Amino acid sequence: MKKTLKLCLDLKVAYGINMVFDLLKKLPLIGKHLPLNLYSSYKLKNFCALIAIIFEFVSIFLGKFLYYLCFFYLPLNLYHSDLGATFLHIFLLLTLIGLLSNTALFSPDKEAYYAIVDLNVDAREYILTNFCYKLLKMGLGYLVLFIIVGYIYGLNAFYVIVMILGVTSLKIMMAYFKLYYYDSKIMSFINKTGFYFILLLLALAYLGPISTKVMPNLLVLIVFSFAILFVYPFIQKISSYKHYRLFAKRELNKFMNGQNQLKGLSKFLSEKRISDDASISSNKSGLAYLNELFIKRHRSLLYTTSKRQSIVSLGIFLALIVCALVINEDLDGLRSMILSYLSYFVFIMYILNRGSEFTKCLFMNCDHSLLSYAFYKEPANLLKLFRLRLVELIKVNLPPALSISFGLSALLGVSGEREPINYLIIFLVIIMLSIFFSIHHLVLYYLLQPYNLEGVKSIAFSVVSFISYLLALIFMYLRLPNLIFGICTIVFCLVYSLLSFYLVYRFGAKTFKLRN
Amino acid sequence: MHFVIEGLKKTYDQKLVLDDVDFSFESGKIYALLGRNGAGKTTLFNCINDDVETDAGEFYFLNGQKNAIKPLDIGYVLSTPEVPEFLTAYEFLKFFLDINKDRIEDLKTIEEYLDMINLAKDDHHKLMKYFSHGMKNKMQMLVNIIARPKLLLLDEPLTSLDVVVAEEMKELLRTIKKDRIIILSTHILDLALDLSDEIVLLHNKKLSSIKKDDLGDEKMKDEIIKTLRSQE
Repeated sequence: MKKTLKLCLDLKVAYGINMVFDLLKKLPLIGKHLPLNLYSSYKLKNFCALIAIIFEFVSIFLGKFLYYLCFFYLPLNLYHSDLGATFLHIFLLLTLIGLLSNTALFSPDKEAYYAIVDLNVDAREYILTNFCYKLLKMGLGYLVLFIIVGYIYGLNAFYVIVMILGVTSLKIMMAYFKLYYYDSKIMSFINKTGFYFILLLLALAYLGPISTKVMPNLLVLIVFSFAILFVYPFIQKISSYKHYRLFAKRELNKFMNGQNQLKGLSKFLSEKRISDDASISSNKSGLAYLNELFIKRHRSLLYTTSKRQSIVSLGIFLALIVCALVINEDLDGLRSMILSYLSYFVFIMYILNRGSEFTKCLFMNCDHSLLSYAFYKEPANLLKLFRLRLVELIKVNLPPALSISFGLSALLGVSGEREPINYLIIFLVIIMLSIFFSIHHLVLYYLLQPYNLEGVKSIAFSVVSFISYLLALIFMYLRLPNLIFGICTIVFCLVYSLLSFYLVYRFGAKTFKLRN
Repeated sequence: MHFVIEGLKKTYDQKLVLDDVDFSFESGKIYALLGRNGAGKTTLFNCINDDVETDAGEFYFLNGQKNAIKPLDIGYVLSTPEVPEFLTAYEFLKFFLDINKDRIEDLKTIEEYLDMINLAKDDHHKLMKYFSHGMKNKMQMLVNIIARPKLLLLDEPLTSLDVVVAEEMKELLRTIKKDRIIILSTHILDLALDLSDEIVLLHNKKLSSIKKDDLGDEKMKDEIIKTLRSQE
C-alpha cells in the first residue's frame, strides 16, 4: 500500500508539473522564448514538486476552512438559536448532502488511467489506497477545523471525535453502496432525484434555525455513533470485493469517453444528450435550419439547469416572503436592504448565466466539426449564425432572470415599497444583466474561440473570464442608490453590447476558427 | 490552371518545419504528398487552408494571371472525419445545399448525392453520431466535392477505411479530378503509387517532385525510400 501511495503521489506531482510547464509555454510573450527542453530540467521539476506538495498540504486545511466560512460562519451570524446546536444541525445535514453529491470510492481521472491501464498497477490496491488517502486528508482537515470550531461553539473533544469518525463511517457506507449497487434501481433513483433531495436537505439545514428549530445534539450524536458502530461490516465488504479491475475499467472508460472535458461539460456528456427523438424536424432553411435542429436536439442539455435555476430561485423567494410575513417585523429594514443590495445581483446573474456551457456545447457538438468546412467559415454565414445563437442564448437565460425579477419585486412588495420606479429598475436591471452576460459569453466565444477538443486553449480567454468574474465580485461591494445603480447598469450594458457587436462584426470572421 | 506555393516558411515552437517552399501543382492531376511522420504534411495543408499563420510566403492560382485564393476555392478533408453529429446525413446535406445551391452546377437531389457515396437508404435519416468512421469520411468527402473546389486537400484520406470503402473513395477521386487539383497526403507508398499522377516528397522542409512515368514502380519505391532516408 505504501508503494502504491508513493506511485500515486509521484504520478500526481509529475502530471501537475507538466501541466504547469505547458501553461508557461502558452503564456503570451514569455512562452515563445522558453527553451524546448524545459521538461528535462530536473532542478525546475524538483522546485515545482515542492510547491505541489506544499499546495496539497495547504489545500487540506484551506478547503475545510472555506467550507466552514461559507456554510457555517456566515449563515450562523443570521440566527439567534444556540450556535453549538445549530452548527451540529447544519453539519449533519450537509454531511448527508455530501454523501449524495460528493462520495466516490474511486474518482476516475487521468492519473488513475495512467496507473491502472498504462502502468498496470493493481486496481484494488490503487482504489483502496486512494480512498484511504482521501479519507485521511478529510479527517485531518476536519480535526484541525473542529478543534478551533469546538472551542468557539463550546463542543468538547468527545463531539469532535464522534463527528470525524461519523462522517468517515458514513462515507465508507455510501462508497459500499456505490460499489455493490451501482446499477440498482435505488441508485438510479438517487442519481435522478438527488438534486431534489439536496434541495430539501439544504432547506432543512438553513430554514430550520430561522425559527430556532434545530435537531437536538443528542440526535446528531446518535446518527454519527450508529454510523461508527455499524461501519465495520462495510469495511470488510469493500476490502473483499472481487471485481475491482472490472469496476475500475468501467469507470475509466466512462471517464476516457468524456476526456474532452471542458470544466464539467464533456463531449461524451453532450453526445449522450443529443436527442434521438425522431419527431424532431425543422421547416426552416440554411443556417436557421441548422440552428433550430441544434437547439431542439440539445434542449435537455441547454435548458435543464436554467429550468432548475428558475424553480429554485422562485422557491427561495417564496420562502423569504413567507419568513418576512411570519416574522413581520423590521420590514422597512428589508425594503432598504433590497434596494441598496441590488448590486449583489450582478454577481448572482453572472454565476447563473449559462453562456459558458452554451458555448462549450456549441463548440463540441457543432462548430468543432463545421469549422473545418470553408462554406461555414464565410463571414456572412458566421455573423448570421451569431445573431441566431444570441437570441437562443438569451432565451435560455431568461427564465431564471424573470423568476428572480418577479420574486424580488414580490419581496419588495411585501416589505411595503410604494415607489413604482424601484420596481421598474429591479425588473430592468435583472433582465438587462441576464441579456448582458449572454452577449458577453457569446462575444468572447466568437472573438477568442478558446476551445479545442482538449479544453480551453486560450490564455487570453482565461484571463478575460477571470477579470469578468472579479469585476462581478467587486460589484457586490458597490453601494449606490437604487436609481443611480440601475441607470448606470443599463447604460453600461447597452454600450458594452453595441461595442462588442461591432467587434464581432469587424473581427469575428478572422478570430472564430479552430485552434490546434 | 496551376496552384502555386511561393516562398512558404513556417516555424513551430522555434522549430523550422517548412523552409522557403516553392512548388507548382497542375489542374487535372492527383498529387500524392509523401513524407515521414512529423515531416509537416498536415502543417502544409493547414497553411494552405489558412488554419494556421505562415511566417512567410504566398499561395495563388495561375491562369495566365495571378488569382488570389478564396476560402471556397479549397476543400479540405481531414484525416479524422468531422461531421456535425447532431444532424442526420440527409439534414447535413440539406443544410449544405441550402447555403451553397446558387454556386453548385448541375444540382442534384439529396438522395442522388447520398447514392453517389453508396450510403444505405436506412442511414439517410440516421443521426451521424451513430455513423462509423468510414461513413463519416464519405460524408465529409461528399460535402467537399459537391461544391467543386478548385483545390482539394485530403489528409491521410484512406488510411483507416475498410477495403471496400477505400476502393469506392479512390474511384470517386479519379472521376472528379478533371479541372481541379487534388493533393492527398499519405505515408503509405502503395496508395501513393496506385492513385496519384505525380508524387511530391516533403523532405528536409522542402517539396520535390518525382514523376511516375520516369521510373517503374519498384525502382520508384527504392528512389523514394532512399530520398526520404537521406538527411540534410
